Amino acid sequence: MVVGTPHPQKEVIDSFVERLLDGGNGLVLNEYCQKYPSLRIIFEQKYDIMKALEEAFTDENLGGTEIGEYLIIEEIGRGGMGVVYLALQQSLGRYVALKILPFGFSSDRVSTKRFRTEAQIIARFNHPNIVPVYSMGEERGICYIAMALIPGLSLNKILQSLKCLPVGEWSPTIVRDIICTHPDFTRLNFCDNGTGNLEAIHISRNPSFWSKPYISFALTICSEIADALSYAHRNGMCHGDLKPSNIMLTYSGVPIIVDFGLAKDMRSLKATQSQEFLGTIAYASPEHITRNIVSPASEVWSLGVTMYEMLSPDQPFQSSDVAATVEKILKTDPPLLRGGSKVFPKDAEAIVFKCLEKAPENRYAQAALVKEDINNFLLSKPVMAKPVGKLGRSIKWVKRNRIVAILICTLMILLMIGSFVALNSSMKQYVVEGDHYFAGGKYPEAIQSYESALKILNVPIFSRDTKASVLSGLGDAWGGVGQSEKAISFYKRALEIDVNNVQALAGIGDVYFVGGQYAEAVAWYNKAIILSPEDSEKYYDRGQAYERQGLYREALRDFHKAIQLAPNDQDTRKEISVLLSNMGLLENDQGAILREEGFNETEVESILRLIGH
Amino acid sequence: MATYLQEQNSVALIQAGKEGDSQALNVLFARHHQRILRIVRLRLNPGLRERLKLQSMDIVQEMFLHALKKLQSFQYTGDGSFIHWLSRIVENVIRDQLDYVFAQKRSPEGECSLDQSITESNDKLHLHDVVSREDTSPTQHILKRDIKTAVDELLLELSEADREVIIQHQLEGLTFVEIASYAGKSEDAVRKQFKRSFQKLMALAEDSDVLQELRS
Repeated sequence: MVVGTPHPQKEVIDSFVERLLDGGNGLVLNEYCQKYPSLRIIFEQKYDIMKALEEAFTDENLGGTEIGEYLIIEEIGRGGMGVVYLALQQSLGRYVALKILPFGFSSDRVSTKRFRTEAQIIARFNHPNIVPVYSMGEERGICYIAMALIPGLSLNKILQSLKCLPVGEWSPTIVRDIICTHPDFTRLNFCDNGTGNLEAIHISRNPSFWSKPYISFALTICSEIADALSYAHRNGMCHGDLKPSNIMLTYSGVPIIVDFGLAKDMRSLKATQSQEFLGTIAYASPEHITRNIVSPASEVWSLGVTMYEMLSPDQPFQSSDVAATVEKILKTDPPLLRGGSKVFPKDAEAIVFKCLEKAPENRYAQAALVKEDINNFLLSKPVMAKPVGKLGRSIKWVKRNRIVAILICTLMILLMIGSFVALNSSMKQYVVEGDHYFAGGKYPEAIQSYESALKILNVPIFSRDTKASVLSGLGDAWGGVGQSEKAISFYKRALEIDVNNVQALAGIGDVYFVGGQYAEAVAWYNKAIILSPEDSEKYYDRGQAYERQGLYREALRDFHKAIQLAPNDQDTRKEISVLLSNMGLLENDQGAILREEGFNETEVESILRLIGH
Repeated sequence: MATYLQEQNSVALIQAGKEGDSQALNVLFARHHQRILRIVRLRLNPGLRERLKLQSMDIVQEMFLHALKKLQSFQYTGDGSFIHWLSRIVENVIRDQLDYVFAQKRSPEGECSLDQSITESNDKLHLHDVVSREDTSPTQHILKRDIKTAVDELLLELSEADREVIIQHQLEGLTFVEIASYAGKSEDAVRKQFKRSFQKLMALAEDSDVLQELRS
């Protein structure tokens, strides 16, 4: 390195510190970490030091401090997006919740501009489930936002308490008790007759609301949250960080969404990898995590996670660390809500799982549809969401894990092929043995071998033809030991599998022939010959059956055909000679007899030549 | 719930204090004493700082109230200016009183002579009634106090000029414009000086084992 040349790393680090001193926040950290990944550790260290110093210069007690026209009384809450104070709006003598945004927020011009624009939109909102915003401002580098004081408790604190109890004990009144006895609520003295000495939002419910079954109670609340989201979406605003800690539930059971639009940029939060981020990311949709997309569909997802948590003692995706949580969100379906219980309504579960579809296009397209479907459920009407089944979950798993699925399938196919090859080899071995025994007249051994082959053939991967062929072999073998009934039953089983099994057809013919039922034998040989017209043996067999019936001309024709197909077959030749002899003919007259029997000249010549004349 | 006086802003409390309302002074003390004392400690020389450490809280409060008697001369222009003014007055009172005590070679615990010079008012103060309660958990509180102590140690390692601009901006809450007008400099010059000073503090913080441990 040339002496005197500034080290490029040092320049980068100095410019990073300069940006931090100008009030840069997590966004700046993220920007530098992405641009100069090798310096990440240094940036994070500088950022941490900056945060520690900022902390060391802030007072724990802002009580008595004036910001704008608000006089801070005391802290009432603390979260990722700042600290909330009970404050007095001095001009109106009204108590408000004053949120002071994190230090550095006001120095980030982009954030401040966005914050102002969004605050203007939110201030125009008029929805019973969205917190009314009174004003916002910036003073001495502090950004603040004044909102209505909500007489209730955040949903995440309610759920924390609720989850200490067995699910069976969850009820609307338990929820109300949790709210009204929680220190965050009682310290503000809201609870006297439901009014207390602080004026704030108050919406009363029908008393029957508190006697609903817990699932209906929770889903009614979710339906109202969906309605508020839908209202905001219609007005062009997404919440950006919907989760139970941003939903207050009043002691009268009304959900109110707070912190609209305050946390849009996941990347800025991600850079800190903090516990706060873990709390936020557990509600973030897959597209929010991977592409930083916040849309009505991603908010339907966050609502789905919130609904899941309200209906189950578990959190669907949260793990011990950010990476594991992200992995679950992107790849895993949460456990079914019904768990081991068959009591949990499948339609309610279907609604939650439709919100938690990984692909945005498979979710409800709008929060309004979630509300509609919840109301369908509450009114016992059919819901749009389809119940979740094992097959559906498997298909979804395959779609998400294509490569793994392909590998598994390939492996299975290979295993199957391997098994098939091994089985096929054993089976063939048995068949060869069986044929060998059969040919040697060892029928019982043949039967044993064929039976063994048949056991293997019961595995459905083998072709029907092979099985039919072995069954026919068994028929032949049983026929060989004189068990004609057993033989026929095997032949028939073969024909059930393969109606065109020639061996079985001819085998039955053989059984009938042996039993002296020549006409039946001819009928079965006919079927065999139709299917196998070039098989000389079948003509020979039928010829014999004809001969036994005295139908010499038919017999002679079959023998003639047989010897044409197999000219060297001495048995057939002999059979023709015996036949002609049995017909009582003199050698010299054989031609004339044949002509009398209707054979034409060519046939007569052929026969005479074949039998040696 | 907040008491009537807690709901008053600083202007109203200062006005009430000027008119002799001792409870208003108590509330002002409760609001500001921790921060003011922190500022004063950082400005005192090491000897006086050690002596101040040995004072009981009651004596400190009396010094504070003695300073608040000078309210008549203060014109409110904002919370930052009030803290700046009050911290300077308290610093002077404490400096004088500590010098006086030690000049008399009195025991640091012997508060009698101090009383004679300060207790022109017979107001009975109820410190524990007015000190606002802490909302943070005990652990968070201790951690935060320790971080503050550690950072104060680092501030004392800086030059007086570096330390002063950080005190004024970060602890007194003065804007760069206000600091510039007190110092007779341009706003830009003050802003640049603050950045340089703060970077030095960051460099010290990076080397501080205590701070690293507390953060982890």
